[in-house]
Amino acid sequence: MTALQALVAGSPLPPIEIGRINGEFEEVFQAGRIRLSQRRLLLQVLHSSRALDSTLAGLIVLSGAAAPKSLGSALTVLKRTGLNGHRLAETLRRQYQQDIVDRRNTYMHVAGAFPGTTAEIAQLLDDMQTCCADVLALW
Amino acid sequence: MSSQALAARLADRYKTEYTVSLRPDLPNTLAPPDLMIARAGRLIAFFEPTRLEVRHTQRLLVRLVLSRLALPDNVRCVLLIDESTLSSGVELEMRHHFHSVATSRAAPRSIVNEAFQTPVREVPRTVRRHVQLQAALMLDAVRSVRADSAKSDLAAGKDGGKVASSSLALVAQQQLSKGTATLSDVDFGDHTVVVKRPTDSPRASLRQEFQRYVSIVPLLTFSIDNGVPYPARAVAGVFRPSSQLTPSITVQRFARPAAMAGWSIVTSQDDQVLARVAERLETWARNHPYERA
Repeated sequence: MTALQALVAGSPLPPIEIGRINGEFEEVFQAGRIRLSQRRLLLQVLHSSRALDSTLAGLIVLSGAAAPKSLGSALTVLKRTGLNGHRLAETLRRQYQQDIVDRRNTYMHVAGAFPGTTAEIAQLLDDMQTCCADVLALW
Repeated sequence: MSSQALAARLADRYKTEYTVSLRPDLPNTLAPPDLMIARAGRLIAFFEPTRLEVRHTQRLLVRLVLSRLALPDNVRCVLLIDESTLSSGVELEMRHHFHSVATSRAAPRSIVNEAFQTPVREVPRTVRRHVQLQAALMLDAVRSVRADSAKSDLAAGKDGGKVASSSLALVAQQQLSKGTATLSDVDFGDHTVVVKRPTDSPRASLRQEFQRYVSIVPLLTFSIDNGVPYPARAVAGVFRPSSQLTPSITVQRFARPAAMAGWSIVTSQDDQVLARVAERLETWARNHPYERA
């Protein structure tokens, strides 16, 4: 996780925002110690989501656009206007929409929905981290 | 000789002032720097050559380029040289590719200061976009071919996935220095390189198996000047590991950084599936030179 924390710390986000986002990544790490796997995985998804949402929104606002209301709309902004002219390819936006936004929404908003396997959630967490790193590299 | 000891020592020195990541687990590259430090919007990546990279410097160059593609443009890349590596000549050969060079004698603060005095070197937008698009296609090609194969027999690949030898093979022979990559098991198309690991290969992890080939595609795809990748030719790789298959979750996690390096990982032992992926990538690479990316 520290690789992403270093990327966030090296980003142009304001220091206070960097502190908050990296705090969320720290929580992902801490949640890894929870024994009950469903609770552990859900918490990891929650904290990763908040880190990803805030990173994307923070960078979009910094580039002069309005704050997006959701992760899906943030991805759309990144595709349409991008960050300083660096735009996210539509194919990637679509992949992130399917692999991250849609799957995450299921776990976050549907009562009783839990990831089927640890592998499934590990993949979601990986995808979120990849998205975060990709967007930071757009700046 | 180096075993990333210098990077570890520096990590310890920087940890109170910087966000430090030793052996960073970057999700979109298989060849990360040895150390990253960051603070207040500034980022430095350190590369301490391994023994193999000292012997075959193209491997170090590929690690640098793949890391640059995975990191933002504001990164400064520092080559770390310890006492035992100094005499190898790697510093003289490679220093222009990095923002700065630091030896084990340099003070940590001066290493940082020197790195930040150098201007950033931006990766051209066309290159970033091409890599993004190609990576997305790599992942998509495998997914869709997997879905298709359940439905129908296929027209392509009657020869069992054998790809015709082409001028790309010649370019590879000329450009890749000995020891950088294994070319003997590679089939070259016009725009594709296809590796089918024999099923009776000695047991090795996917990473270990792939390591011998990964350099081929980046070194053909980019022309590298002062550590910055510029467009050379559109080339895509297809890699099939040997039959000792790694669990699917490992392959999934591996697929994305491999795609960023220009490779599709195909685990199907069906040669026709392999041929179909190769054909799809060949068509894409032929129709998507950098100018259109």
